Amino acid sequence: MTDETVTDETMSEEPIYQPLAGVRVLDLTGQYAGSQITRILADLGAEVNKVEAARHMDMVSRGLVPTDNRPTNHWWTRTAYWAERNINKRGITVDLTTDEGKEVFYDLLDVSDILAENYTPRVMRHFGFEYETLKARKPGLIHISLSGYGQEGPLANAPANAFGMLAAAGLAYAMGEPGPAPYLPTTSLADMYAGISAATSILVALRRVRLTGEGERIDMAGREGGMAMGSGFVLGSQLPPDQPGERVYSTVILGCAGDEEWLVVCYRDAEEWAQLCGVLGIEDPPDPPADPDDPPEEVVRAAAAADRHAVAAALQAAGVAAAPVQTGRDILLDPHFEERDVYALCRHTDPEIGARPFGRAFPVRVLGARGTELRDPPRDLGRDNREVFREVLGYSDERIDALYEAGVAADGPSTRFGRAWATPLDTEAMIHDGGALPAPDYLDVLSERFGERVGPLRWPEEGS
Amino acid sequence: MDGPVAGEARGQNTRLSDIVAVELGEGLAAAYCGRWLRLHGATVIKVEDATTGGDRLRREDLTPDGWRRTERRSMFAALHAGKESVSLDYSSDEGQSELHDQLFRADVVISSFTRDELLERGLSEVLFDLPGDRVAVSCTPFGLDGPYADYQATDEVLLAYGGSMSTLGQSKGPPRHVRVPMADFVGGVFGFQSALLGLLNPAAGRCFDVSVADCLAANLERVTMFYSHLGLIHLRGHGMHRHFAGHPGGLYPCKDGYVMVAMAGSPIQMMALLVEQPELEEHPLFQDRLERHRRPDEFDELILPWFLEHEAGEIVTKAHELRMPFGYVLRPSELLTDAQLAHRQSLVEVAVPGLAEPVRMPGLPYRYREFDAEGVALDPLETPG
Repeated sequence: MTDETVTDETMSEEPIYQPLAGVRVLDLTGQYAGSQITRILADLGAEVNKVEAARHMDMVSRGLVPTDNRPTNHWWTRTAYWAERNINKRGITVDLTTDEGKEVFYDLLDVSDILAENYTPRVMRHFGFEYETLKARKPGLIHISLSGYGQEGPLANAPANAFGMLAAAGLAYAMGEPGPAPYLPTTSLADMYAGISAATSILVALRRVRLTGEGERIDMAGREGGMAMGSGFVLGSQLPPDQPGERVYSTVILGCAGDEEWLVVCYRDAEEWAQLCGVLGIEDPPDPPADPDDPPEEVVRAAAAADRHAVAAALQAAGVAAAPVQTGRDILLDPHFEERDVYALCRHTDPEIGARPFGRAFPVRVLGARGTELRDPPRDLGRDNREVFREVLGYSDERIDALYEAGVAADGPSTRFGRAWATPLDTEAMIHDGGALPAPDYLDVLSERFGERVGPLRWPEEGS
Repeated sequence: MDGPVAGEARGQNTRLSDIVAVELGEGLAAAYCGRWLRLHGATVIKVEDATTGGDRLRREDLTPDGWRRTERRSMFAALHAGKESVSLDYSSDEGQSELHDQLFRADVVISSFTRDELLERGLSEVLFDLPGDRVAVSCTPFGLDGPYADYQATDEVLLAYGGSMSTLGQSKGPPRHVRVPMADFVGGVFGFQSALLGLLNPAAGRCFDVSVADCLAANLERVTMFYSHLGLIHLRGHGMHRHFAGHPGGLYPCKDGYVMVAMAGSPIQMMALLVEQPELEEHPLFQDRLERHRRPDEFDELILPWFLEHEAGEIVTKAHELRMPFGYVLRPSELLTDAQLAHRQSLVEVAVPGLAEPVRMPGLPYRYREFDAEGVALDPLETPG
């Protein structure tokens, strides 16, 4: 833990869960899926040294969602996306396109257990970092590559992003209505589970390295992470269409009182349907609908006046599977997730950001431990250069200065980015088009939930 | 990594062939966890309750409109292929003796039992107090404690509590539910991750309580961030997509279906080149990002005619040549003939009772390239022994 941060976990008696303490990761990842791999490893206690370059920053992460939607000149370290992806990592800058930068890379490789990157295969070749070369230098290395489609085959070098992978994984059609049109969810499911799946592959490889001393090459295809999640879709596409048999349960979604207040109920039979009607105050319940997507009007009317949380709780108490359709706000305030400590505060050193809640990347309770720790806030560009170069690589101050002078290392973005700001989102248009609802009291609500001030300790001045 | 592959390239391997895992209960998350252990070569023993007729998936199966009561067992076959089977009566002395024999044989014990179900089966004191370095992984819908620990769960209920359902559907419309299980897969992967961590470093912890709902809630790209960093409740549909990702982007129709249009940092001039109208670079909607954002339909009128004249294969190939990360929009059935997946041998075959031909399921999404030449037997799990 740095001297800059204080976390909730410091107050508890059980040890922090850090099973990967002592493992060092050379992290060339960026964007979402790649950063998810190393975020998980970092949460689990590994030392993750994330490498960027002043001219080649992780722009997807650093450019998305300015905190509190306020533009500032220091935009590259003030976005929510950057924060979420890079908690617990150290940040260094090395320009890998230079000979001096390649020397630093190899020095880092020599003292690292894992190399993680999510380039298309041609990029590592361009750097001269083919696996065989790296393996010859460090036989015990674990090298994971997460690309859109894998390291080989006709699509190996195809560029990919979150939704491209999702669509190519079959999920756009699989998640559509029964019928001809595909559909996109608004979160990048394939990306997310690609990163999570890739992290498991590293754990398998770490075990092998410890047993045999032999390194490992892992080739992760991002879209196949989405496919694995959608295994049921792939299976279903191969089955005969005519499958008789009564439904195990039917699912109805009802609008409840308020904006964006939805309730989902999975009723197994007429008795459970009657329980739903009873909870909604319908004395003479209609028969269950033939099509659960078209529930009876009186049930729709009754639900529209009901509290979704109360109805779900009452049905669950009666043994009926039901839930409010929870939004991001609901999740952060949910008593179950609070009791199970799924979200915790990470305190940014920038007072214009302050403490914010983040999910734990390994959200599993471990008997006898406190769970993982959000120990270090996301880093400014090059924040850990001197510490890593000096303490990990043993470089002299003169050599470090020379790296700065040669432009191999830097503490801020290249001037090619100008004074551009991460673009604030057009939240008014988003709200107008139904993509979001405003919640202006969010910082007060979260401060009450987490028991301390959430949000900036001071507001940034415009353009500061 | 062009050229011959050093090791095997299938969606299965033998990395954990020294591991024995016992899988208790019938939850899908536990089954996914056991499946991934098996796909890594572990011996996985599925223990079923003889008094209930075994796993419910022997009597319920997935259909295009949800779960139905049927003896087809395709999901059961897919999730449990390659596992060994033991059937016992938890309430009998013989059953308890058999159970303890199995537990002592195991390196990893996976359980889908809730806390009440553990109590009923005499396991609440046993599961998390296994001797030696044995690893225990509980995979349940809501975890073993907390206000919802005893709640009834379906995949839809978990997606709703965990926040994913709020992102599914059209803007200004209701959220939608997806008719095949996704939530449990997430719990299964974290269960597998837990098992590996326990094997790697038992001193740090070897008893894990995986809640599927927790795993979903903690891994919501954007959704909670929008509230904590923007003061917005993140919803769904075009109203979110367009304003977050910019325009153009999303699913576009083409001559033979759809393509996924994604710019992801590509200069908009690339779009003018793609649609073979370089003069569009000078068009005001190509020049002004904000204007394009405000008038998306007008922008689409400029490019859509070209899309509708070309097939998805042509469009995506050309976009990739221009380094634009477009995606094919594939039906699940089209994955079965996808050349890239065939090259990587990404699908594993599973026999389903009553079907003449085996079905193919996604295997592991990653490949280990060193020192592995053997595949893993994925024979059907037969009647409980």
